[in-house]
Amino acid sequence: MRNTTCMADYREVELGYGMLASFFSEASKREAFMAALDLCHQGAAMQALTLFDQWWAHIRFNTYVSSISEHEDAEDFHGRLSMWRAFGGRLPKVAIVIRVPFHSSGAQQLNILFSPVAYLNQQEVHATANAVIENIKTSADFLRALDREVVIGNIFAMLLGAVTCVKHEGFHEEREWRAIYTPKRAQSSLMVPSVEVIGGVP
Amino acid sequence: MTDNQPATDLRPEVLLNMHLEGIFMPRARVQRDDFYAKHKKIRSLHIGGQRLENH
Repeated sequence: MRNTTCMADYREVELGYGMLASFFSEASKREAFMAALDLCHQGAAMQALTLFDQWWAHIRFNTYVSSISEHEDAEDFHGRLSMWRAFGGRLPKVAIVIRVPFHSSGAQQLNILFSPVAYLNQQEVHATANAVIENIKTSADFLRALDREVVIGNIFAMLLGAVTCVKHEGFHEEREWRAIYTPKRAQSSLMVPSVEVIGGVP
Repeated sequence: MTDNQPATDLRPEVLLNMHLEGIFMPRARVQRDDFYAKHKKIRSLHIGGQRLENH
């Protein structure tokens, strides 16, 4: 896993954050989000947003990501030329083909969030956020029956996913999935930190 | 656990998390479901140009 600040595009997390901030900076949208969640747990949205803001500095500088590229069966043998060209520079390159299980308790033990990347423009981010608001309203009875902390935890995970798994639409052919680890927030005893220099970058 | 495992075999807390993902991260839920619907077969593995089945 690599710290996002050392990745090829060190602004990766900033892009998602900026799009999210643009949504919540519009009073009507922010209020719609809060009102939907107030139907389930009064003040839960504000609590989750405040919590996320408090964690933002840690998320920004202490998020670690492993990136893998989804590919078709036909690409098993040769891989995808653009991926070979894009990553590894002039160093020898190796591709590992893996099959990711639908569900694995390993992700829980490692405290990682495993998610596909969404290649979205600002308009699509806003549309997705509006869809979430509608989902929350539709599922209000169900969410009300859950523990408040569970709901807040899921809002937080949604915000974390939005900042770490939204990339510029121009990168869509990468078809990236990310394993995301935020040790300051949820450490795993199975994760051992070490600094390795690859191609001159730690 | 395999990617062919029916959802009904999953533990209740896993099903709950999947349902919550559908509410809060609908796009990721759809992408995940589409991916696993599309790639049901056991994949083969290539080592040194040789195709090894069912690994």
